[in-house]
Amino acid sequence: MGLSISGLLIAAVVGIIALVLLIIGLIYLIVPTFKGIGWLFRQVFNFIAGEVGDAFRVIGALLTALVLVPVVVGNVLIGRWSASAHFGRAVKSEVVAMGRGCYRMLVGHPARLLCITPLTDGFEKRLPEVFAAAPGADKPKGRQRKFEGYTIVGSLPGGGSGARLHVAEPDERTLASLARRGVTDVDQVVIKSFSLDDGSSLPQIVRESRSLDAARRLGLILEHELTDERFYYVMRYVPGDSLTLVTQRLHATSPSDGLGSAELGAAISYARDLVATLRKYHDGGLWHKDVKPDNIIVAGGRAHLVDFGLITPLRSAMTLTTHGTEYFRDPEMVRMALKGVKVHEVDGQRFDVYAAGAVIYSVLENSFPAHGGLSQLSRKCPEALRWIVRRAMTDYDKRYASAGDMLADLDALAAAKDPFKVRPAELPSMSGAEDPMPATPPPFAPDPEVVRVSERLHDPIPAPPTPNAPQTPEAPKRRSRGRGPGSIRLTDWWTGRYAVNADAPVPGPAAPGHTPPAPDRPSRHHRPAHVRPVDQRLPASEQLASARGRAAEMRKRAGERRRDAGKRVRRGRQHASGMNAGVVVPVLMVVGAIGLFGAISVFLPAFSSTSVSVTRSGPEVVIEGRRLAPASINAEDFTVTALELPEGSVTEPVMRTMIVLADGVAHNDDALAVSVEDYRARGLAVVGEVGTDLDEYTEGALARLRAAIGVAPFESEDARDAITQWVRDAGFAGAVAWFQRDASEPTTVRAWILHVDGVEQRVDEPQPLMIDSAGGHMFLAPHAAPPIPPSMPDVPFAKGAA
Amino acid sequence: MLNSLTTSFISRLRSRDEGAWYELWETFGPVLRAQLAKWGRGRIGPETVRDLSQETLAALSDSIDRYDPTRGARFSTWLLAIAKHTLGDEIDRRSAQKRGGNRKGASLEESWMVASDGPPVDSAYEAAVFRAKVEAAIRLVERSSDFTDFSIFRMRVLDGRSGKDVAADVGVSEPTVSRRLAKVRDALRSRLEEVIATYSFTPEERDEAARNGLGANPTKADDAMFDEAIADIYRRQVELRQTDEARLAGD
Repeated sequence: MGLSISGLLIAAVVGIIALVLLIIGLIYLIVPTFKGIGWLFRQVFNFIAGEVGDAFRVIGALLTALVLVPVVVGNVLIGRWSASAHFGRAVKSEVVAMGRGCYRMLVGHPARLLCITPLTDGFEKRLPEVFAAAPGADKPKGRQRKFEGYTIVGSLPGGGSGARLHVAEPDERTLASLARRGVTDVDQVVIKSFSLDDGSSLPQIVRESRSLDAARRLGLILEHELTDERFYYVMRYVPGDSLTLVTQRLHATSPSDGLGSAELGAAISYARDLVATLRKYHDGGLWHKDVKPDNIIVAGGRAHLVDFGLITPLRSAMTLTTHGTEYFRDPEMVRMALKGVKVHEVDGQRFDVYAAGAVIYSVLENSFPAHGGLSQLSRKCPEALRWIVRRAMTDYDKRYASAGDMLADLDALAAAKDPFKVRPAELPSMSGAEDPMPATPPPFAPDPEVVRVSERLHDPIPAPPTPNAPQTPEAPKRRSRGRGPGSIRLTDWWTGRYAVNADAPVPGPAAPGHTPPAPDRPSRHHRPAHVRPVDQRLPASEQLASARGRAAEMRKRAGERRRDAGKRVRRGRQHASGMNAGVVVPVLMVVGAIGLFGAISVFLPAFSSTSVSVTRSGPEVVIEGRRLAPASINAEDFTVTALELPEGSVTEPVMRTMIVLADGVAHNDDALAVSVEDYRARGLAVVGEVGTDLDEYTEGALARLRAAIGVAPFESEDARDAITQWVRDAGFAGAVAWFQRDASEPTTVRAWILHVDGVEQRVDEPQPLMIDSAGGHMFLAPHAAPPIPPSMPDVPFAKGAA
Repeated sequence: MLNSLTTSFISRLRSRDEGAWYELWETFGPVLRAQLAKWGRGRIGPETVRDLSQETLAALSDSIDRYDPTRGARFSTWLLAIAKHTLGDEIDRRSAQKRGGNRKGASLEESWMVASDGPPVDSAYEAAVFRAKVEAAIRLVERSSDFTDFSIFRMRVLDGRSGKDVAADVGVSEPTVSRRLAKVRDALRSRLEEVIATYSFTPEERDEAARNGLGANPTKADDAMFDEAIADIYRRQVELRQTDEARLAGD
């Protein structure tokens, strides 16, 4: 008894546990099931609600557009152009809304219902982005978009400054002019143009033009012009892809946890290029202020910093502004700008250093440093590089004092065989090793290229931007920028004769702190005045001859410069405004499609044939062909296509012969008789089992045909093959029409026509009755299927039913 | 009653100190955007969320002069009420535009100033506000600490690396790492107290740090918990920022 009680207890406990487990299991099963059902209902409900909502939107937009259209026309008629343009824009927006609504109804909502949104992402997200970022017209029109001395060959997507970017080729005169100034190897240039007509604002124009002088000092600008209506400047064109795009490619070819070794090497190389360029800017007394991946172009394995829109002299007296790009702009700069700090009161280099760190972060992470200096580098990367990025993006006072410091660390990393083995403690900035790049920039010493350009721009290279820099002892001896008018010395009091001493230099005012170098040759505007005394002047005729000679010499030199410019080896077209695979393939596809369509139209006239309608009364014939579905066709509404023969077609009278076979159909049966009449009306010679006498040859041929078919049933493969073979062998018939009474439907007559192309002697597939003859040749129209009336029954047509 | 730090901050806001407003925006912008996106899901896009979060601060700017600290509103509620009003205003404006009527947007009520008797607002939002305060404290410590010291803290606590690795990377001994880490930790505790006091209107808000294992007077054993809590908050903030970034990028 005791055992049984304990056994019962155990069983009860086990039962309870099993029950609890069962309930838990059911809950685990039921809850997700109900969740799934709920999700399903939600999906369907969202779909229906979306479809209905968009349907109403489309209808609303359509009605609105219909109301607006007469308003537009009315305004045009009464000459209110502005109003008509306004209403026209409204119509356009309604049409766009309608199109979007239709798209959502037909594609968007069904895709969301079926959870295949990745399929439509390209249309909904990437396509609009691509279109939005597309460059403008390659050949801009309008006076404001023509630039003297340049031929526009393409355009680039504009940035956020409202400017238009054109790619242009300088003409020979401009090339010669640039060559005279020492600027060579300019194949293509970028013209950044700001025009009030194009939507640029005056503050933008002023800001850009203000940065121009600074950029010109580094030889970044080749030419510029400022008028009442527009402002533009010309700079070298650097072909390539933005670092944003390059970063995406680097990550596409790398493992998911970080850049691969080759990609990492490339990233470090780009970082070095960027920081080295920044060092050059800073040494030149400039602050780029808009360093970001989109402003870095990678070409030939090197990173080039472009866009000089925000370049600011480090010692500018202007108030600091918050311009820049979020995530790449130091928040500290914003704080300082909000306090009204002046540019020269801050160290602009450090803000560029921050941006460089942010750029390296974005290359390593393929993302923005959304967390500022605290952004986490989650992907695999050398600890030393992580340290460099953090050092660059840390607090204003603690980051690298100069781009040179940062470059030294990057150089150390790049020089290592395995960057992953470099520890932060080994970096020059940590180890206290002598910095190969002095933190304090040396007196401004731009690269030779920059010097050459700047010298030719009549803009002497300034001394280091230190206001109290001592004058070098040679400075007073150097020629000043301006020269005095020269001294006049009276040589003969009585006659008033005098001489001009043009060699005496007259010191001009020198900018404080600047030591302008002596130009290699005086500029045209400041050339010394070589005035001969009157008694030493040549006769007028000789002076004239000499002037002509000099003019001829100048023309000759100009011609030589132009020829030299023309002879120089072009480095190939850099801007991809011409053909590329992405352009050629679609163009070829379109051209090919048009050509194919044209060829089909020419060689297969059936496509361009005219249709005539043949209405027949009386008993109908059900025509069957293998390509028809449903198999039954009401001949009453049958359309026969009148064909046009291509010129030069081979015409063989024998091919106009149609052989008619009739099984179970009397020759005077209405269906057969009407068809035969129809064939004859089309110029065909109809022979066979149609009640007419046959000659011996035809009779023999028909016998062979019947023998070949044997007992093969109507429209069977065997029958078709037999007929096809017979047609080929016989060589005189254009087609065989086989009429047969349907065994299951005695009132129905079926017909099957097999056609032979007379030109190629090719046996076609059995076709529906689309038959005509022209030029002695019989045709079937294989593609012109007759329209099937909506009321057409699926069963073969019953005789007399119509 | 407000503490002096809060009063000072409010005073800066009232005197239209742009630095104070930027600080508020930088610290709580992502939290506001996340909350607005949550409320307006399906009705407003990322651009509108960005605009609304700015409008929230603008509305705050308009109402700051009328703020009465004696009425007992929490700081988080204060921000939230403004954000809610701004969003509601936007929704009303859109509805009015759709109907073509002339209904004006709701006027700003001052009910947010009063302590609510109802259930607390979204706990996720409250936690996000607290994390934003901790993040602000970390930023302040980054500014005031030596770069190497903060890097050691960052590698050891935020990146979760071992003391030995950190010591090898930075080129110092492990005891030095521990010592410098403790220095930054102490600075963070101090800053945390300061930041939480600045952005708290009620005593209950000021006790949040202690409730979350970030008390000001810990024992030695609490250091590990403190580090762990900071690392967890930092990770969550990074996630929030990344979500915010993705939202603004339109993903």
